Parts: sequence; C-alpha cells; structure tokens
Amino acid sequence: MSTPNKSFLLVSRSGPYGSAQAREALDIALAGAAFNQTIDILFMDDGVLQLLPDQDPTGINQKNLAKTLPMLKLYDVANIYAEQHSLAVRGLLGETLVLDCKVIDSGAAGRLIAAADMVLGG
Amino acid sequence: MTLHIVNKSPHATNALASCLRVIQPGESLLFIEDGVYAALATAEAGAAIVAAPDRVQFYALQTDVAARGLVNRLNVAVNVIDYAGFVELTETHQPIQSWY
Amino acid sequence: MNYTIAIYGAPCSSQAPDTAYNFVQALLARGHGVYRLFFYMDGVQNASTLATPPQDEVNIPQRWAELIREHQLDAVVCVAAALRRGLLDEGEASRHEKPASNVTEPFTISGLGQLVEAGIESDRLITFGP
Repeated sequence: MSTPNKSFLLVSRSGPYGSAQAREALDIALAGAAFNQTIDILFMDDGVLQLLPDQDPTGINQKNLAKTLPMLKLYDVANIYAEQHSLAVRGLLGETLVLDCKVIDSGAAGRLIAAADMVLGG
Repeated sequence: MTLHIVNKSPHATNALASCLRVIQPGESLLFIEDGVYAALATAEAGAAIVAAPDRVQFYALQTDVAARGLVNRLNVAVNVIDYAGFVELTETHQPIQSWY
Repeated sequence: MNYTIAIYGAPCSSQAPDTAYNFVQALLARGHGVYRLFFYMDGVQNASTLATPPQDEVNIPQRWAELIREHQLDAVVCVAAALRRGLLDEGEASRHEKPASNVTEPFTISGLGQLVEAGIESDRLITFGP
C-alpha cells in the first residue's frame, strides 16, 4: 500500500436523491479510508442540502443519505466544510445540520481548493 | 494554483457562477463543452468575466467553440486553445477543479 | 507527468467521454503517462461492449478499448457503479446469476479505492464530469 502524503478535497455540489451523484460522491470519501487517505469535503451549491435534518426518502424508495453522512466521522475524514453563501441562499445559515461543518466564505473555499493536491468532483 | 474547468452553459446551471465566486487572483478558467457559451461577446457574459478577480486568465477549447458556431462571437478576453494547450494548462496548474 | 483521468459522463447523455478521449490522446502526444483511467458514476457506460451506435457515429466504448490496448493503459470501471447500471463482466454475471455480461478486457472492474489509490500515485487528477 502506498504512503499517503497528499491532501485530497471532495467538492460535493449536488442535492440528495434527484440523482445518484451525491451518494456516489460520498462513497469516494468513504473509499479513502481504505487507503488511509484523508479526504476533506466541501459542501457547496445544492450539496449543502444533503445536510438537512428530517430527510425521509422512504416514499421515493431511496436510502436516507442523512443517515450515511455521519459515518464520515467514523472514518478518517479530517475536515468537513460548507460554503456560507450556499447555506445562506437556501435559508440554512445557523440551522442545525446532520454534520458539524466548518462554515467558510467563498474566498476561503477558493483557497481551500487551491491548497489541495487533488480535487475530486461529485 | 487551481485550474478551473467549466463545462456547462451559464444559462443552464450555476457552475460558472459558483466557480467565479471562489476563483482566486491569478488562477485560470477553461471553458469546455457547453461551458464555451460563457465566452460569448455579450454584455451579460462579458460582465461576469470583467467582474472576475485580477489576473484570472480565461481560455476556451477551440473544437467546442467551432462546433457551436462561436468562432467570430467570442469575448476578446478569452484565449482560444487546442487540446495541446489544454494539457499545457494542466501541467502548470494544480489542483484541477471541474465544475459540472 | 503521470495523470489519472476520472470519467463521470456516459456516451449519448454527455460530451465528457469524447472530451476525455481527446485529452488523453493529447496527453500521450506530449509525452505524459496515464496512470489510470477511472470510469465512475454514469461514466461506467463507456465500458459497454454492447453499445451499437449507427455506423456513421462514433462507437465510444470501442474507441476507448482501442486506445487502451494500443497504449496498454490501466482502465478501471467502478464495480458498485457498474453493477447498479447493468455493466457486468463474466465473473460478476455468474456471481449474480445474470444471463449476460458486457464488460471485457481491456477494461477491469474494481473498487472505488482504485480512484483514491490512483490519486495518491499520480501527479495530476482531472475529472470529466457529466
């Protein structure tokens, strides 16, 4: 197994359920654990909607993404960020979310991306 | 220094708007696929480019520009490059963030 | 430099497979190496041996297979994404008792960890989104 010495950032920008994108992006972060590779996550745009409490997708025959997200804390996902602007325009600023996120402004999000060695989309 | 790649029309999704919100001075933005519609020489698209931070360089992929009939309709601030130029941008930038 | 190319778009519903293909050709022409092609999300459709477009249209899976063979590239299809979408090699087809398979060499079906591992080992990682 290789020695991880790179910083990875996953930028998750899709809402849950409308497509498989949000869930399959989350799976990338969980896969990092198998390689002892820390993958930070930045939620922005509709991606922040994954963090809403009270999700109940039983009526649309899908698994509850909000139940899987806290698994990130069990794995070695070091830092979880949410972009302030994305939260604000969706009325979620200051709300209790299913994951504790560091809320950062857009400039900080850009610097976070720039500081990563590898950026994964999702 | 991040290379940003946008492949969606600014009229269809917020990919470009989100990219422009986080892009840092001196970084580069490449338009590919439907992303090249953002390089049109219109007031609206031009304003987004003018509002970008200092020293942001804009590029558009030639084959996507030509395919869509935009060769004579591009904003002069956008550099048209071929695939070799695309590869060159990835040599000189890291990481690469795709907005789709 | 060594590149990993992640392809998330499917033929027909996305231009990403064509853009990624042209990019890989340009990379190789400039003397770079491809550490891995990783097909994920709807991008797993790029590996279907059953794609049968009309003769005057490009057969994207076939074109990938030719490029992969010619340059002996490592081309991995994510197993979870593939099974969900009905992309199976012989092993998976018999394991799940399915009547057919549609993924063969030069594509390999493997886990999502192969994307992370490729990122660790490569100089550059570029995603072609849907």
